[in-house]
Amino acid sequence: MEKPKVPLSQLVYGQIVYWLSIIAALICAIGLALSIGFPDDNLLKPQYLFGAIWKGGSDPLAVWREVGGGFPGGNFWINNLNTWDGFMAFGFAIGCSSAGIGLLAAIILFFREKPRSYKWALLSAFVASLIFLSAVGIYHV
Amino acid sequence: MGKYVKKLSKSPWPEMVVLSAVLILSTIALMLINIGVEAPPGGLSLNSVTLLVFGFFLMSFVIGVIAVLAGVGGGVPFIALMLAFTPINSLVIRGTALIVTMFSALISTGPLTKMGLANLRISIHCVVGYGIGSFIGAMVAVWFAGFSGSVGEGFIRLGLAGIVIYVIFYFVHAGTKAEWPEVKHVGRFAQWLGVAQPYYEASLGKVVDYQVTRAGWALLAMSIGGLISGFFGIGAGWVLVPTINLVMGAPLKVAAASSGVLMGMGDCISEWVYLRSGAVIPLFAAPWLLGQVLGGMLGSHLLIRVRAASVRIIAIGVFAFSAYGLITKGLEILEVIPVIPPVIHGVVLLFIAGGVVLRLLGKFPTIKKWGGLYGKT
Repeated sequence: MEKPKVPLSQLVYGQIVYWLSIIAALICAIGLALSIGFPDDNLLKPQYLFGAIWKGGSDPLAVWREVGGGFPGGNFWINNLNTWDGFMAFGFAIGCSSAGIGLLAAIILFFREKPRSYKWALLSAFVASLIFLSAVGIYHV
Repeated sequence: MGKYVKKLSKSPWPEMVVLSAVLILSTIALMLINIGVEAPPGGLSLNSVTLLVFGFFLMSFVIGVIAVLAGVGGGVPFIALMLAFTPINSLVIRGTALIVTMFSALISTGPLTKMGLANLRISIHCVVGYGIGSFIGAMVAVWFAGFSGSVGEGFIRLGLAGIVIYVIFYFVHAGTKAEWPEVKHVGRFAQWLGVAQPYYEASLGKVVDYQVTRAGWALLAMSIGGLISGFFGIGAGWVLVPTINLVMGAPLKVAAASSGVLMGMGDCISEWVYLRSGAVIPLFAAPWLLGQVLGGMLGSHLLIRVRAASVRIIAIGVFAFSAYGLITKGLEILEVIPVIPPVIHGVVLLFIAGGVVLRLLGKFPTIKKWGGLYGKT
């Protein structure tokens, strides 16, 4: 029995998302080790961080204020790639963008598939735009 | 020997080996480098930080393996246990749980789409509702945390306890589901969308060509699932799978696979809200994330060999203890009850663990009136 072919758009989307997530996880693993290895090169000093987290409380930004002098805001990793926690946040950012990047590739392939799937390209563009708008912080509370 | 080498050279083993090697070698190296380095005043020594981080990783790894074997995302047990038994701020836990859930879903996307089991079109269609819902849910969570104070922290825990109790019932009933739902009438909207996509079903040895319907209603259900997911920072597989399976009429396996793909996509939208608000603390989130990624990868391979029903019983026990912890912690924060002494927690844990052991041994009392619900495995 011949197995049905998986559409190329689906195949490419899956592979892009998978490998970007693996790269993101690897960045986090390296960043994690180096942030403890070089504690002074962090926004939040590891020696004080866990005590502040464990204190809890109702304010989520209290940890940033107590250990790092305040939350640097939004996509703080862009200006702090030279710090190891900024580097780890860069890994998170890659993971959080992976679906958007995968959908951009899928849009191109939806146009090239036969028959062409304009509505799926449009829907993918809508979802990708939601991801990227959320990333740049066009919507915020 | 050559057979094993060939097998281990195929994805996902090289990725798993590299990630594990980085983690284990760096932990050993850090422990050796930091021998004799004293703790700063009011802080932890670097060796204690290393051990703590590695401990988080190990706990997350175990949760990841059990969660996959039990058929639930890793986010639910993580968030339930952390909110129930730690004083950590709930927004920090929810932001971390959502990134953990998102990464496990993203990692599973590759194999599921490659096998053809997941249907990308179903995922894209559903994520329109789910993504908007989860985005709004995450925004409400950040907004609510800004002013709700400790009262909000208490109510979050009680709300999550309600969800965990629902998940326990969902598990006990093994979920209301239809393996091969029969779609008698394909709605006009679903027909126009053209979502259906045949796939090869290995257990039947044939190609299954299915239809889906009620695409509009599915969007509504998805947005509700998304709202809960975004607000509580959990995967909403227990809403998504029944929606795709029972509302849209897709086969169960397609529903389960497509829900994983759409969860990864949708959580990418809402996680940015948590990231941008400072709720995700890199050094705290990274070990949990890595543990879930590796645990999830291993769990999905063990799934073929392990008896999933036994793992489900253990998961029910974990959820029952989490629900108890969430309720008591929530009521303590709201000052409805006094702080419960640890010995009571211990007695409850022993009681639940005893029930799990009896159930695993097949000696748990059966209630016939309920159709032997608790007597079946």
